[in-house]
This record gives sequence, structure tokens and C-alpha cells, in this order.
Amino acid sequence: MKLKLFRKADIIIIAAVIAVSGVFILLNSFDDSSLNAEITVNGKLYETVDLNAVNGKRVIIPDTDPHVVIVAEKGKIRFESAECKDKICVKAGNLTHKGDVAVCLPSGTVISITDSATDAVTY
Amino acid sequence: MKNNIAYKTALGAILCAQAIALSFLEGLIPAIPFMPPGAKPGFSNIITMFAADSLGFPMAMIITLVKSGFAFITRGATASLMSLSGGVLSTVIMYLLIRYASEKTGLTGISVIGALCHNAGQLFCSAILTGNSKTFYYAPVLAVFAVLTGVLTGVILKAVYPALEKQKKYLFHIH
Amino acid sequence: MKDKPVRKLYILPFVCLIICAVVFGVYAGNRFGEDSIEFFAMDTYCTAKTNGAKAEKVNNSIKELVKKLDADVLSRQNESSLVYSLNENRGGPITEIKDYLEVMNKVCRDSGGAFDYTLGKVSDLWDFGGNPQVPGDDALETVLSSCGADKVIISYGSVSFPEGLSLDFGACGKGIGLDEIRDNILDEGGIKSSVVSLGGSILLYGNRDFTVGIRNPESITGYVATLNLPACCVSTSGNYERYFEENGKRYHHILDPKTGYPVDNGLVSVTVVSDSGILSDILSTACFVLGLDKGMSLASKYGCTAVFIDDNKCITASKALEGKVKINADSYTLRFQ
Repeated sequence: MKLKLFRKADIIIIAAVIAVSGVFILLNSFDDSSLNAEITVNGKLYETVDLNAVNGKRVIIPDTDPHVVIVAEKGKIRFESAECKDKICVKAGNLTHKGDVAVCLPSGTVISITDSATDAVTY
Repeated sequence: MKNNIAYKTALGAILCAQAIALSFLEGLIPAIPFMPPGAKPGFSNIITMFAADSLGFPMAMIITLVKSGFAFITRGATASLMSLSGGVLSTVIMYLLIRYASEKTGLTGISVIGALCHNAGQLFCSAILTGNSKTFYYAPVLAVFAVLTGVLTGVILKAVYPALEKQKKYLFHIH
Repeated sequence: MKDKPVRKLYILPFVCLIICAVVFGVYAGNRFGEDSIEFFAMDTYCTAKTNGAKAEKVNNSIKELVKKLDADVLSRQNESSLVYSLNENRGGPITEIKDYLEVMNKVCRDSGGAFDYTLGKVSDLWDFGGNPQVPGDDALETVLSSCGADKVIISYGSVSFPEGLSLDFGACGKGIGLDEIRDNILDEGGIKSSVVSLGGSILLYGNRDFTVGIRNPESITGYVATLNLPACCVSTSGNYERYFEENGKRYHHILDPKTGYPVDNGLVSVTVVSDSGILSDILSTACFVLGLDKGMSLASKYGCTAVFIDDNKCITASKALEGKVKINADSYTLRFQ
């Protein structure tokens, strides 16, 4: 067996991996520029949309009754239309900031932009 | 004598069985809630690495393929594909390292890089399968985890290497 | 040969192991025992975020409690609920909600009727939850004349009231829910902290400071200000939450018990911070109806702090909140009173 358990290059490999991933873990935990919208249907996560990565217009129609049409564009997301009476969710307009939430009660659909700056929002 | 097909088949079968047994056993470790998804110790790498060093590239690759075949039978197509993508990449890289860089890198380093490649292959595979690149968010955490498990498997391989060599010779003598 | 220095390096894998374990352990420690849940109950959207060993179990109990409380006690629609049967029989025993009803009665009196839980029939006329419409003046007057908390008699664990009056826990149900969650689930232990939101009424629980955003009234998205608070309850009444438009005029769901019409006093939202869930919920409604000055003194009478937002984008907060409120939208101004 020519393999040794440990050689000098191993130290460099391990140190490099730890250093690089450590930097990324730190960056991730302080990363504030990401804008992720979570769409949940009846409490279950339906889809997470990275709003910074949307090119053009993306239409999302979750399988709900009544139907709702969600439109995501770069940096924003909204309920485009809903087949319910009150249309509160459509009135909410574009969600653009962290902590923004739009709820469509009849269909059980919620869009929220994930946020770590506040523990909760009162309304 | 050692080129005898029956001998190679028997040895290969035993090593495959050991690799599968190891991955089955690590599957019995209860899921830890905070573990990044897809993170496993990867103890079967011990066998793959031994094969790559002592028996050559074909044997190492056969073990990897059989392992993902086993994953297909027991855990379905997706798990099998994940196992395959991670396994093939790490086996190729580890073999190349052993063959061409073993003067510079030791077992630990090779094992760590093997674990990293395994993760990388799986991440790419899951990103393609789900069409969601968000999984890469976990890459740094997985990498740290890979260093941990890589060092561990490297040390274990060092310890069991003589036994594995013995097994190889023992089988040869029976023959 | 090279063997000697290499042998010394044997210790290094273990050093690395320890470093990795620490790095991973810190990451894991942050994730451990964190759970969040979302559900629909009380005709609204509810969330619970809990930290601690029993987080998942606690969150599930919260969901069950809220759904059960709504179905068995507070719902006006569910035929097996306590409030439904009280309304059908014009009274009955109220053991489960006696304490809450007494608080509600007290705020009713202290606010001069600005908060009134007997307007069920008036709400029915407006029908905000279903097919909203402006009711006729005559119909409204007729119904309004038979309402009023002063007509409700509470004695010996029973309640009785005349025909034509209907109890409505819409303005306090969420607060009661928060109190029940705290007393029956969170106080049992097994958790470090928890943040429960029942349709925007919030329970903050745990030995740390929390940051609560006050929803931006203009867009129904984002928050105009944040509050830095210890464990407590926070409720907001806003005229943007439920409304409809008819003939170009906007009608919202916070009704003035005196007129039966939506309150129109320049306020957009009132947020009340209290140790008690029901108080924060009731007082936010009462303060909205009373307006800034009277509302502020009512809140302080109950030892609560409040944040008023008016349609001139002026935010007025209790003096006690000085240093704890932070504006988050440029066009708004902040003052303390």
C-alpha cells in the first residue's frame, strides 16, 4: 500500500474547503439581496420563486378551487386574478418587499416574501 | 491466476455486498432533523476507495454501479440516479488522484475530495431533476459535512485496509 | 525518510474533525428545534413559529386549539358552537368564556360603547364576509336599536339578552385565541420562544426581544414601522383589511356602534400592545372608533401602549414606546403622545 493516511497536501485541501465554505455560509447568513416568494396552498408549500431570477413574466396557476392566477415578474409577484367574490388578494397588488404577504382565503393560497428582519407583521 | 474471472467475480461480489451493507447500515442511523438534505456519512466510500487503490478502476466502478442498482431496487429511480451521479463522479476523481497524485495527497485528502465530488454530483443531479437551483444554497454546509465524513472514512479505511487486503489474499488462497 | 514529520501530522485530521464538528454543530444548533406551521381558522390566515425541543408538537397543538376554539365556542355560523347556541336561545351558561365576557363588558363601558360585541345583526346587514352591500338607513336603524352591550345581563355564570341582539366575537376572537394558546399550551413549557399570528393579531412568547412590523396601509404589503417588544400581544385594527366600494365610496369593516356605519375619523389603523391578547384585540377596535386622543387615554388606562396611523401618514405612538418604534417608510412621520 503506497497510500499514507495523511500528507501535506491534505492540510491544504481541508483548509481550503473549510475556508471557502465557511465564507459562503457566512455570506448566506448575511445575504440580504435575495427575494424569495413562497406560495403555499392550504398550508403546504407549493412553490418558491426567486424573484430576482424571473425573466419576463411567469404565470403560476396552483391547483385550487376557486382558481387563482399568480404572476411573477422580476422583483415582484402578485395575484393577477381570482375566481372568488371579494378579490382581496388581487387588490393587494404587487408584492415587492420582504415581509409582504397576500392571502386568498377562498382558495387557501398565500404568497409571502420571506423575511428575517421581523418576527411577525401585525395588520 | 488473479486474472481468473471466477476469482474477480467472487471478490467483486463480496466487496459489493460490503459496500451495500455499509450504505444500508448508515441508512439505519435515524434522520437528524437539522441535517442538510442529502447529507450522509458515505461509509461505502471506504470500499470504493479500497477497490480503486488495490483493484483498479473497473472494479471500483462496478461497485459504484451495483450500489446505485441496489438503490434503484430499494429506494426507487430518483435515489438511484442520485447515487449514480454522485458515485460515478467521486469514483473517477478518486481513482485519478490515487493513480497520479498519491505522492502528494494522503488517504484523508483523497477521501475528502471523494466525498465532495459525491455531494457535487448529487447536487447537480437534484438541480437538474427538480429544475430548482435553490439546492445549491446547501453546498457550503454539505462541503463542511463532506470534510467531516471524508476525514472519518479516510481514517477508517486506514484502519481496515490490512483486513481488506487479507480478505483479498484469503479468497485467492481458497481458489 | 519523510516519515517523521508526517507522523506528527497524524494529529491534524483530528483537529480538522473537531473544527468541522464545531462549525457544523453551530449551524445545526441554530436549526434545531425550529418549526413553523400555517393554517386557516377563524376565517383568517394563521401562522405559528416556535423554537424549542417540542416545537413541532406545540405548533400542532396550537393549530388544533384555534380550530377547536373557533368551531366549538366562537363561531357565529357553526351550529354546534357556544356563541351560536347563545344567540339562538337568547342566552345560556357561559362558563368557558365568563372571564373574557367580563373583560369585554368592562371595555364596553369604559369606552362609552366604542367597542360593542352585540352588533352581530348589524354585521349581517353589511355582510363583509360574503356579499357586501350598504344597508338601507331604516333597516340599519331598526337593527341598531335592539343592539347594545348594556342590554346583556351577566349573572351567576349565565348570560341573557333580548331578541334581535346577536353576540359577535369577531373583534375579540383572535385575542381570546392568543390568550388560550399562551395559557394552555405555551405555559406548559418545552419551548424557548414562539410567535403566533392569528390573522395579524400576534402573540410573542419567550424570554427575548421581538421585532414586529406594522403593515403598510397603502399597499397592504410591507410594513411602515417596526416595534421592538418583549413577550406580549399585539393587535391591529385597520380600515384596509376588509372593505368594498359602492358608488365610488369606500366602506370598511370597522363599524361605529353609534351609527352602524364604518368609522370615518381620519384614522387608518390602530395597533395596541398589551400583555393580554383579548385586551390588545378589543382595545385596537375601541381606539380606532374613539379616535386618537380618547383612544390613547383609554389604552393607557388599561396599561397598554398604542400606535395610531392616520391618513396624513402621521404615526402617533404612546410615549412609553419611545425608542422602540422605527419608521420603515420614508413618507411617514413619527411622533409620540
